[in-house]
Amino acid sequence: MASGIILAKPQSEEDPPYHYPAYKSTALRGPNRAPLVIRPGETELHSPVFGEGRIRSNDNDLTAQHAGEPIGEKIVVSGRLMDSKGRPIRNQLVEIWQANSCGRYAHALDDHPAPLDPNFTGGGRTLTDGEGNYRFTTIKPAAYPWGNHPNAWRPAHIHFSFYGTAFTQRLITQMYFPGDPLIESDPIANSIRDKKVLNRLVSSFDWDLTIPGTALGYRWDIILGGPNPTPEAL
Amino acid sequence: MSTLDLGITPSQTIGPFFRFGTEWIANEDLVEEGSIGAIILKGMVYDGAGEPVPDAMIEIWQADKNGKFPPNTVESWMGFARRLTDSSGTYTVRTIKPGQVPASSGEMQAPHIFMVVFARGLLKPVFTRVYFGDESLSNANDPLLTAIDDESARSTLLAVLEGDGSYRFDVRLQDSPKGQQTQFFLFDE
Ligand SMILES: [Fe+2]
Repeated sequence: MASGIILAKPQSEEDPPYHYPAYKSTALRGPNRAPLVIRPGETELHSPVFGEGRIRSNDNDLTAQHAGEPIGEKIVVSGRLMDSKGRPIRNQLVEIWQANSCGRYAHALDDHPAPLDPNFTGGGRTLTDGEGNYRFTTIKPAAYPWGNHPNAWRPAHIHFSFYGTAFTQRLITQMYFPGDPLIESDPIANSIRDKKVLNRLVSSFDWDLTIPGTALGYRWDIILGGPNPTPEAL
Repeated sequence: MSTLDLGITPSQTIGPFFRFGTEWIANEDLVEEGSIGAIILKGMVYDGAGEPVPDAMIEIWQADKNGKFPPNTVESWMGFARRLTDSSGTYTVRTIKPGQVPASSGEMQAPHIFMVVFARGLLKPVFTRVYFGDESLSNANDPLLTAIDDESARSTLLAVLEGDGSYRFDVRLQDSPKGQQTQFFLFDE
């Protein structure tokens, strides 16, 4: 270990563990052998550039992807993507996917007998702007039942995917809505054991984001961890 | 400002139903068929029972043949690919062997591809490196491979050159009848 590339450091206590028995699917999928903590090399300290050409202008409006209007409560979800020092992550890809206003996903294997909405697919993407801000227009997703345990319900959530300026900052997570009573009993949310950390996944209602007569607004800022990017990548 | 240290947003599982939101970029290869140096990287994802994982999302990220990353490379070089495993738990991607890039110490590393895997049941992703089994000389001098004392763990990081010229790299989320768990990594901040 002359190079000191492997470090004897504990994992962060803030992220969920790989094994969380209350979420049953972790049993056969969470690694049992501990990951090695290493110093990132050049590859891990760079990150892909997705560029304007791949994103269409209405890709961030999930209510405008079909001929008609989707059913449900129209909302704006917006916020800022930053690193742990509060520096904006500019021009980077943000993706979302979600259930419709009845709690049903446009996915062949979702067998929840709630109706599909022909005017709502539920996938969107955008690039952050020069200040790290993103913005989506969508429909508020509903809670849905799942088979994890008797009478299990997922709180309403939107799945989010983020990239930083280093690939080690890669994050996929879920955004929840303020005041949702289902959060307290949800094993996936509570795999984050510190309530203060879990609260970082709960958006806040924001009058400034509302569109009068049209949409309510929720604000959610994201802080990516991981090593600080190389000066070259900034 | 050292006083500004913001709380990191924690991870949650990708869940089972991500295909319609993530597949838009999941069919691009890193290079076109017939490109000079093109290789096929393929493999399967297995769970702790040795069963294939048909609902994983894999991403790879790598330098170009000169060891460079966008934007310091030719414009067509994306360096990135995403794959959703199919019903048999398999992924396939066309790429090239990357050039060598330095470790944090400045030492040159053996050619490798960075890989991240997301799946239902993974509350946070697993990160690994794909090295090439036929690069024995550079592998023998790689700062990470040489620092892993456990030979069987090290061998989980080597993509195997198959008879048809493709490289096979399976991801085993746990020890199972399919073999030892892949060595995963976390990164110092
Ligand atoms: Fe979900």
